[in-house]
Amino acid sequence: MGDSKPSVDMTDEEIIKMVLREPAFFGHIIERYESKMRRYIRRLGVREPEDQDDVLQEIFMKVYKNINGFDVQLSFSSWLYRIAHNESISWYRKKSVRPEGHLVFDSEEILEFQETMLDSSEVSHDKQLNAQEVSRALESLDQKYRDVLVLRYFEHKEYEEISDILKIPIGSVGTLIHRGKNQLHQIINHDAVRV
Amino acid sequence: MKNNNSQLESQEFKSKLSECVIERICTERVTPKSKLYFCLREVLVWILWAISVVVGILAVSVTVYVYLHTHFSIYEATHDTFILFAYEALPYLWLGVFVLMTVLAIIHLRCTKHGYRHSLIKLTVSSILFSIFGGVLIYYTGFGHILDTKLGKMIPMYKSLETREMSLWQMPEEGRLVGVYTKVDGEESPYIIFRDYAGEVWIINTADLFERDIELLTTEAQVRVIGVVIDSVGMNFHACGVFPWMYDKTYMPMDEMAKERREFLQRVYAQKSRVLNKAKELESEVFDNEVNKPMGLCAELAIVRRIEESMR
Repeated sequence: MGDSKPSVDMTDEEIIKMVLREPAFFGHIIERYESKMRRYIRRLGVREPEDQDDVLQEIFMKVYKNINGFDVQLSFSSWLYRIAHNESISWYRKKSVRPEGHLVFDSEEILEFQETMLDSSEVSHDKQLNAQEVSRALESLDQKYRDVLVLRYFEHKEYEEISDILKIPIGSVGTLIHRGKNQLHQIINHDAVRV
Repeated sequence: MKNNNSQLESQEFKSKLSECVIERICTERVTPKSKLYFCLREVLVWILWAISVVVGILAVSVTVYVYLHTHFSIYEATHDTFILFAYEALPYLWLGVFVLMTVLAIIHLRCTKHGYRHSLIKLTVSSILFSIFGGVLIYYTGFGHILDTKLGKMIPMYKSLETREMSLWQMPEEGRLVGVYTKVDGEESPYIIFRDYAGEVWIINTADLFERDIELLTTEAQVRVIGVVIDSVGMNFHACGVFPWMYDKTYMPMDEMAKERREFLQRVYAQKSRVLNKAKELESEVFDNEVNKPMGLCAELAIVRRIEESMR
């Protein structure tokens, strides 16, 4: 196995090189990303913890099987998010359910998201939207818009990373975010949600 | 309370997930797919892309050849309007192949490692431009013509340009012949022997032909002749114009065809005015002698009527 073990300050890419030599080190990758991935798939609509466990196992199994296909030009995180996204979609298909959110956004995140949204001149007067209503509006968004908004405002991904995760052109990321915001604005019933 | 329990369960699993996965890897003896697999997969996608591009380029080269070498200079000889001519001249099969190959090339490109980074519009426009540029280059090598002709010989269902042109032009009853000059019937005689594509031998009166037409005929190359059948039993044909069968397959023949058309129009007007002048000179005389009659024949061809109609 050798003396060297993955340490906290090692990059993902360095750990992956070690995993290729010693599969047991793969556990370090899992531990590094487990909570992030669990949160992400929960936001994508995999709500039940048991389902999350299943999906997470499949995600990491797939990562391991395809580890030689990891494109070093991408960040490992983007590649992992891509697999997680695809695996969640597969899970919906297997379960024959629509990928709907289930109020999975934390209040703080929603407030933060509102702040970002309020930067837009279109909604600048709606300073006090009810977090629950925004969360519900997010859930009723079209899947393609919700995917980019979740990655941008809840996972705090850059446009290039979103492009790599969803395998769409960077220009389309911007367009989808813009349209997603517009649709969200239309969905929110302003009169009903004012505090 | 329920919420706390589920959080606890989840937390408990969280610490076990890596163990579970590692255990599965060991018990199921899972090994990562080899680098070669991913390399071959990428290479395969690029090969499929290259095939689509090459076929697309060939389709463009045949399309360019077919469309440019369809004899538009005297389209009135075979069609009532230019729109109808242009519509029928389009090689739909090759256009279809080109569109299909462009779509496949785009799909394959998007399946490459970084293909998703480019927008659909960018991929579509670049694929089309690339195919057109490549297709025109290949056309200049004469490959468009070779492919079209070879396919025409190999596949009975496929109609090559030459087959299509032949079916339009080897129609004596419509005043169109394709064939080769054989010999002059007497030194001073305007009559020549002409063997058409169907193997029929015609006696052709060349009295109304211009010097350029005669030169073209006597090269003994295959030519197109327009005129009038005087006697279908005696195989007499009065020629009004001679045109090359096909132009060089490796360059754009538009200039030649345009020049050919200009000259033909000048000839039509010249013949018309000759008939009118003769009519004025003779006024009440009946035009029934052999010298006058052919001049009237050429001026009254369907192609002349159509040209006049389109000029109005």
